[in-house]
Amino acid sequence: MSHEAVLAEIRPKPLVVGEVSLGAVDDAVYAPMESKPPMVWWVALAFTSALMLLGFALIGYTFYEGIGVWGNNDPVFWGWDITNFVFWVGIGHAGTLISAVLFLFRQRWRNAIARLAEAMTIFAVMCAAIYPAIHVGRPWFAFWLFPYPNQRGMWINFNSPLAWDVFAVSTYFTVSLFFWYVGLIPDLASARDRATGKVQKAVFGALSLGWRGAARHWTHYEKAYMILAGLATPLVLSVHSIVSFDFATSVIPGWHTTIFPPYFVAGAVFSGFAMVVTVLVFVRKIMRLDHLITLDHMEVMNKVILTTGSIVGYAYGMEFFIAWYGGVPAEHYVFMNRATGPYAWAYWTMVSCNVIFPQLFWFRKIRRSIVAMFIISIFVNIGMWFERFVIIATSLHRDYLPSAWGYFRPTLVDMGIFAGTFGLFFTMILLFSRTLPVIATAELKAVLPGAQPGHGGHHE
Amino acid sequence: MGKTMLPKLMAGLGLLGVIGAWFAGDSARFSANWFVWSILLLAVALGSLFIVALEHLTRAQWSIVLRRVPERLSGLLPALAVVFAIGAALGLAGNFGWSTPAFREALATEPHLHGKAIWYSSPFFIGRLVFIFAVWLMSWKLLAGGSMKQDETKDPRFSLFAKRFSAPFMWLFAISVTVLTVDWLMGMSPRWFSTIFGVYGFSGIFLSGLAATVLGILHLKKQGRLQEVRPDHLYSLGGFLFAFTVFWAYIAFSQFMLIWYANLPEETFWFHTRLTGGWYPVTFILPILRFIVPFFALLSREVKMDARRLSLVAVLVLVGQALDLYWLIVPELGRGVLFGWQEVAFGLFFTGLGLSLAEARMNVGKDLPEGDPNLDASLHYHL
Repeated sequence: MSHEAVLAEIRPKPLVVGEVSLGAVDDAVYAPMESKPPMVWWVALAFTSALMLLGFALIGYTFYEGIGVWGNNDPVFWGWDITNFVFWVGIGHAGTLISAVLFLFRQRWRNAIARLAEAMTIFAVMCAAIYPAIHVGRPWFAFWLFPYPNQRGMWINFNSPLAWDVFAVSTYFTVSLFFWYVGLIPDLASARDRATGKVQKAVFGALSLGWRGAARHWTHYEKAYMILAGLATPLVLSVHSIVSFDFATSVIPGWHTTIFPPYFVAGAVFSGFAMVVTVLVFVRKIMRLDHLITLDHMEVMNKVILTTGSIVGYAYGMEFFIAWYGGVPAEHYVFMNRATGPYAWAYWTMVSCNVIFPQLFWFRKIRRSIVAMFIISIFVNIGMWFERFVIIATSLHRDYLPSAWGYFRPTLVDMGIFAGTFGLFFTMILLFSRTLPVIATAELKAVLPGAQPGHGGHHE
Repeated sequence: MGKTMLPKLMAGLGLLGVIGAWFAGDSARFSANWFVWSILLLAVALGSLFIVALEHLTRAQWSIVLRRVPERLSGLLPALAVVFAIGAALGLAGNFGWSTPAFREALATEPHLHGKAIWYSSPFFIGRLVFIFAVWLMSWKLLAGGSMKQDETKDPRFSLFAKRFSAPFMWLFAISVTVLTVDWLMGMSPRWFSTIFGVYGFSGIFLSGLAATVLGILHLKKQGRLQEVRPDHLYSLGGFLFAFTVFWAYIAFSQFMLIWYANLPEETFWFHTRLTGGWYPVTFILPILRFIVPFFALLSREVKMDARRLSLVAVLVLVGQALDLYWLIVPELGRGVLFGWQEVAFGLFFTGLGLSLAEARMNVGKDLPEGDPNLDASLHYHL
């Protein structure tokens, strides 16, 4: 390896490809908002919204018939409902990690992908929120989850982690929405200034809250953004920790284990990054943003997937080790049963998708191959869904007495509702990609070569 | 003379006390003190090694200017291998949890402990102890030694190597730190188990490395060296200290809350020991010292950028780590809170030893990693 090649390896890479002017950034990012959608977008929207409607129809059917139409049974009282809830909440975590945590760590590469990732957070939490509401069986009483003085003279059980979930997820959604919106304000003003139609001008004008880009506006904006990032960071950690408490505070073997909180958070970031990669692979190509969301961005995200996948692998290993070391027969049984019992197929799907396949990202060629990263990201999505399914189904299907043992099989309604949430998620992404700037242009301009005073990229 | 002699004086005085404690014949107490303090120094060295590897792995540029300090601190590792070897030669491990006659008998008679019978069999135990020290010493040699050689050669290939080595190092580090915490901390109470314990151990180790790095930098700055480290760098280090203070609290709380909530007797006895008798106030002080005080102190930007106040917080973090280790190990002797001349002697000896060794390390190699091709970017780092 030549001296220059070695130096190129260890120096930071430029965050955009080629010479991009400030105006060209705007032109690239706002183009989809200012043109008619292509045919492929309409076809995709028709497909995803049909899926979404199917999901809503089946939710209506569930309300009409009751949750007996799902596969949940005695003893597997939690089935796909909670599996899917945890799956979707987890997907949301990458957005906050990218937009808030990486912001606090001053990782400037995040600027190009933060907007889209955070939008995905909001859509994923919307999908997640459906499940707790419908799984209560009588959703018209779902408002009982909220504590307020009422004529029933009853309070919620504050000792229940299920109640903590209500606060955690709703707070997380609210703060994420505000954080996202605050970040959008300067870009909404650009959209207003560029808009030619009267309606667009009025809507973007109202949404941008009179932003004129004055120095005073920027001062306030940066303070607000920093504070919201500081608030969102503990929130993102707390949400999945509290989701893990739903399981870990119980005394059910396989659920009660102390590593659950950090393990769930790492798994959530892992699955979320996989979903961001899945979506970005298409978005950057179809929307012609691959010079702004570069292959280097994708490679860094794949490294995060490798890291968090390894943390998840460590947690799997630790659970098995302690089940063996701890000497509690019930724990020992549950873990052996996971690997060799009726759900062994699900367990090994999980292990291979979450621990084995992501290890391919040790190779740079694979980290930088669009096809490979797309396939692996799909594997991770599948694997992380199976992780939650394995945790829920394997621990429940062997109750304490063999006479109460069972097996969970999903029904078509289960599958249809899950497909419906995917429909909702991708419908929202499709709508978002044509109505709002998918890249935070104000932030991206701050990392263009020459934007940093004093240093940065001009040493040679 | 004067100030530089103080650590050696402490170590000398402390050593007399330690020898006295040996002849006092309370070998369980002697072992407990020995491991509290040697694991504290080990935490400093390992945390520093982790900081170095983390910088290479993430290609962080801001911290290059201060990297020599954690590199030098990780150089405590060979001495600590000797400290552990002396501990083994004195038969100190024989006083603990997994090696007490009562537990040895239980291993033979209680079939559900068969996992522990294998885990705590001597060849396996000694084998993995040798293995983890070999991993650490080798990594230290490669990362810190290589970096000091790079000062002379200016060869950028080392930076590339360090970046590549740091990735598998993270796996080795995770496994070795887990082995250390399971064997030497969790194993003190051999019937107890907690899956998060390795992460708990890691959080304390990383914090110790960060705090020691802060103190090392400020010590050199006081001598007029390392003036290149500006408040911007200190701010970022302080930010890490803040983040991992919260991380420690998060892990500690998760472990406690889940065990408290589930209330299973096979787990709660460990906390019960620490929540009764004289240990109750210690358990109460620990989160105040390790979380509440440093959390509120480090919230402020001024504190993170001010050498004097930041060093006070760093000292507090190390005191917190010492108390944490004391709280993990000593209650298992089952004799209540032990604090007397023996604890003072051990404190003096190991503090003095650690400071003298660290002081000596601070003169190894140059103050700046001058061979690092990205040093310039670090020198010009601004918030």
